[in-house]
Amino acid sequence: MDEIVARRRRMEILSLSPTGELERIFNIFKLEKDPLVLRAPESGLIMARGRIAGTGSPFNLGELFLSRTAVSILGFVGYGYCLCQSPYHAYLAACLDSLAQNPSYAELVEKELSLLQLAREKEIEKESRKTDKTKVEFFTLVRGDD
Amino acid sequence: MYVAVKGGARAIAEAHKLLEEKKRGDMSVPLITLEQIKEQMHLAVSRVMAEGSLYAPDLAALAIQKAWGDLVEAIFLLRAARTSYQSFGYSEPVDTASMRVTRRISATWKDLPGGQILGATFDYTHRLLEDSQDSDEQSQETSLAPSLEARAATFGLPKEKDSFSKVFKAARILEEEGILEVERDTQSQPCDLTMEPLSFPAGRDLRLQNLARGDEGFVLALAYSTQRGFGSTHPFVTELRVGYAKVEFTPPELGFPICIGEIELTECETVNHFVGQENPRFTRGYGLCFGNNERKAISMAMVERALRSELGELKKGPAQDEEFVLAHSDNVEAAGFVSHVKLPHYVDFQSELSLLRDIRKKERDLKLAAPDIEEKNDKPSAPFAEKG
Repeated sequence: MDEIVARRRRMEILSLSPTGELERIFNIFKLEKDPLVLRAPESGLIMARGRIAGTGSPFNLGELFLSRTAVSILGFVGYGYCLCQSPYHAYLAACLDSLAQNPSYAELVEKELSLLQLAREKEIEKESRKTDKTKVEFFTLVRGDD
Repeated sequence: MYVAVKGGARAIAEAHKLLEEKKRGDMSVPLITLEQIKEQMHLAVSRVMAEGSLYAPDLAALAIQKAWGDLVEAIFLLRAARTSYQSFGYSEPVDTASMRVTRRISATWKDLPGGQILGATFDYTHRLLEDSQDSDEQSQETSLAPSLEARAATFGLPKEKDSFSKVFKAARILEEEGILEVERDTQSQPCDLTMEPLSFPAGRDLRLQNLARGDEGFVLALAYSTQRGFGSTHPFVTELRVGYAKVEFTPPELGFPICIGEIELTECETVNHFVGQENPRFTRGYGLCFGNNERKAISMAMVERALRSELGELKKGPAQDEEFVLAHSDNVEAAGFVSHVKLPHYVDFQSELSLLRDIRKKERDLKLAAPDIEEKNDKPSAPFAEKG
């Protein structure tokens, strides 16, 4: 169960981080052999769903681009998924997903991913500080004699 | 009837060449880049993605550039592009309650937990067309920025981490009191317009998909018609939110959902007049679309509510007529069929023309054969003759 939670978190960071950052992390590990590509990187569509009135049964909202791939490094199978037309991003994500399962690399990958997550949170915080400044208090005026 | 014609290939090729030239405009003006369209025409990109029914900011910007700024043409280009990609399936339903909001307002509560967050809005602007190109003005703005920030701090506005970016749904207040209808997940499989044609009667799922990709102008006009008495639903906007929602997908090889990215969405929830003899409850309308698109989301929620014939309301306007609304909302279909009348209809027209000529010739022949009839017909009728 913990494994699933960890992988969900990992896949989330991998999908939301900039491609350049994933490339930088992947290059840290100077692998001797190229990763074995199990499923060639490809782009396609998935239909995004919403819920009726936000909480009800699902409905189809519109389509999104999805890039995906699967690789194997030293026998550890990694999957890469991202919401864009960037098979390269998916490839890097898959490589890092694979390395994160390998006990010899896991710690370093996780450390780097945590840093990416932190950077993203900071970026969001910066944005939300600007948004928060637009928070208003509306007043209603009382009419007549009280 | 439209009949295929041959020839004209050279003229067509020249017309397309000319179009490219005109689209580029004055060569001394730099070409507008896709990054510029994405950054500075964000709302146009949002509309093209919503109605093109494809969330792809890069492609939408390209479509706007290629369509010479014609958004309906750009939407068409996006719809055409999607047909060349394979489908990988369906996402998990997005959880809009945990959206990272950039704007969130409510017309029903002023003191809303989580607050009213205006975000970047045209509301309360004076709609004065000022020349913002003035470089002096721009440099002044930048130099003022730090002091404005300092002034904001003196008003006690949030400085440190005091995030409102994730806020709960306003409608929950009414749901918990039990006076608002609650939509529950029945685990049903929704219809998909990209897989099967529109059919009637349509469920709420199909109506929402249709309206989410429907033409903004059409949906807006219908919403307006309900306000003017053609099927009023008395809407209150309990919440309008714009923000980013995570999208999850369950890859078959993993068997559990994973986040694959984030998309911008606009959501509008309305609370409408109540129904029911016992335990009367407010009803609700719902609008959700890609990108930053609040006019569309509000209109969508109003029309979605008007279409809910299951509530047993009397039909008083076109916005309540499911077939009328859903069959005419798609601007790619509508523009195609309306515009096709400009294409060669030579044979069709020739047949109409010869028919009319035949009728008139027969009438003339008849008149020549019997002149009395012609005279009688040509005389003004009696009352006019007397007055004259």
